[in-house]
Amino acid sequence: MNLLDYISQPANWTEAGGISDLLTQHLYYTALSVLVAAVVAIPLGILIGHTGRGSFVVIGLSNAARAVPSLGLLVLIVLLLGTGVEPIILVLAVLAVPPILTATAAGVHGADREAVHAARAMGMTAGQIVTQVELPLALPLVISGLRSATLQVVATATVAAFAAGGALGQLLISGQRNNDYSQMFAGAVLVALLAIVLDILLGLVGWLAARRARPRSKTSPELFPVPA
Amino acid sequence: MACERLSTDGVGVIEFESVSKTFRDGTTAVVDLTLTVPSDQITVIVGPSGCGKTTTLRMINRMIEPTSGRILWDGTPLHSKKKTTLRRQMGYVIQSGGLFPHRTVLDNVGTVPGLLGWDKSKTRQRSIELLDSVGLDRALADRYPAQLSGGQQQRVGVARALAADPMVMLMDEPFSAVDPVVRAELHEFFLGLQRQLSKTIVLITHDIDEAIKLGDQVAILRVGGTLAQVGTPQQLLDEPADAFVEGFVGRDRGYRALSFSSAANLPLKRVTAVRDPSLARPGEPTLVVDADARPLGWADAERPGQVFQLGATFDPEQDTLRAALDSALTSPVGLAVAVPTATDRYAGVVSAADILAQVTQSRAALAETLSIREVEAEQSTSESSAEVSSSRSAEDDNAMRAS
Repeated sequence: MNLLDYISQPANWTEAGGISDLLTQHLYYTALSVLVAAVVAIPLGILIGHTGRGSFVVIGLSNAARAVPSLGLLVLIVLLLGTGVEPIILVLAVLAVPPILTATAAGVHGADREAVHAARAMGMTAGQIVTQVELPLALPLVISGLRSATLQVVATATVAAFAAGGALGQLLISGQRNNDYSQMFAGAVLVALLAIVLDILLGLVGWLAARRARPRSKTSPELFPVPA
Repeated sequence: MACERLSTDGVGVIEFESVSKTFRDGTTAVVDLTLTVPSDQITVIVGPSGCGKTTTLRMINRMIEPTSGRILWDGTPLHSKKKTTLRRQMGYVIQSGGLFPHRTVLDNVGTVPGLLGWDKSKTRQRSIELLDSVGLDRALADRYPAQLSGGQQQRVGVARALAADPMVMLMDEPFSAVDPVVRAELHEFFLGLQRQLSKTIVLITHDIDEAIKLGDQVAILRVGGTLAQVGTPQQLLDEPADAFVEGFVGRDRGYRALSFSSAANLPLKRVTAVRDPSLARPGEPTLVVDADARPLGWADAERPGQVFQLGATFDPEQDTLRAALDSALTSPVGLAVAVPTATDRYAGVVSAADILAQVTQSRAALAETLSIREVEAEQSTSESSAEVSSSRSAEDDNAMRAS
């Protein structure tokens, strides 16, 4: 039997509930839960980084997050809330919060202290310091936080299938049930590929943001070099 | 003591009234400071690390609040003003520039106008004008701070502080992070700028030479945050209030005091000047000049046709006795060459002995002034000791250069 049997059949991609649909669903879960996590974690990270207080929250959360069993959490939440999109997003967002929070707090706290001091001395309000100085300088780190959160969520979103949520995990579950290893292989390979592609894309965005926040030294005179 | 003689009229006077600051951890930074910062002049606050000079500066724009006492700006207590409003009315320059690394030079300069809500084109125009007045090429406007040299960054920092035309400028060791050559350049630039703009400037430094060079008024703080002495640079050098000030202004303060006497009255002598070094007559110092009478060097008596380096020259119209003496000491034949900047031509020479004679004369004149001011015998002893230290330091200088 050939491992590529399933993935190479065009019909398996196009049928209702086929690979295309599952892939879209997987991306949708990923995007939505990273977004939800960002909405919570970025403001909190700014607050912690700006005031320099509450860093124990960051450390505690990032340690706790490593210990959270995502499948167990999903089962728990499904039992409490029932199946549907919300429990899935909730579980994935919980996983995505710590990397974003840690990176944002570190980035804001580590923004060029001299520049922040000058900003305050020139009469910027706290809000202006955050939006005009600290956040732009922290942006590359915030993006790297979003990047690791996304990677983690893409990989973990396979558990959605256990809550009748579909996505690429469905291929693994169905394949196992039907003893169809080529279907399971398709699921595994697609999740891995998706993770790699998203990582490269976000890496590129982060690189561009870093160029903006820490512009070139004197040795590279050309302005805004475009990556080839 | 000095404050009465310096102007306290006009806009931009800052008065410290018995100001003390103790931090929450119990550190006392400033103790009972009473000091008037006169308007339109440069007041330098100088002292060793831990003397509370940074705290003093930061209390002026309320980055730090005093524990007791109060600070007035033109008679109005600072605490009656809103912090952000107050800070936007005072320019602020820090040691490393503190420029925003993610903003272009032009956007950095336009920061405060932006905060004050000026419209974009007015801010832009003002920023470009400022680049001109701090001597930066307009081509740098769209660069980022990381693309500039340290000296250029510091100029951008000054331009940024001047952007909204503040009456008061606060400068926190603004020239400490650059090398000595650039620092000297920035000093000249800064003094030139102040001559045009006449701001009330409070500058802090740990470098007494910088304080004496830049300050109209210098306040010396001692460790523990008390004011040791305040006065004009010359007063501090001539009449140090106590051993601490004397030690702080340095052993060679007599030599340094030469910076306050102009070289204009030095008797210039002529020496033989030739265009071709091989024509030099042996046995007398002979200056080699070019076709436009610009000095090139001294003819070498031992090796006919060879030329010694000229050493430093001085400008009799602008330089001080200190520059002239230094020039004489560095000259291979012991003669300082006078070259007015206006013409660039050789105007005459003067020996170290003639310069010292001039010093003795002005010392005598100073002693007269002192006696007119009814100063007691105490000063005359300190004066003679100053003279001793002056000649000794000149010898030291000589020995050092010889070795």
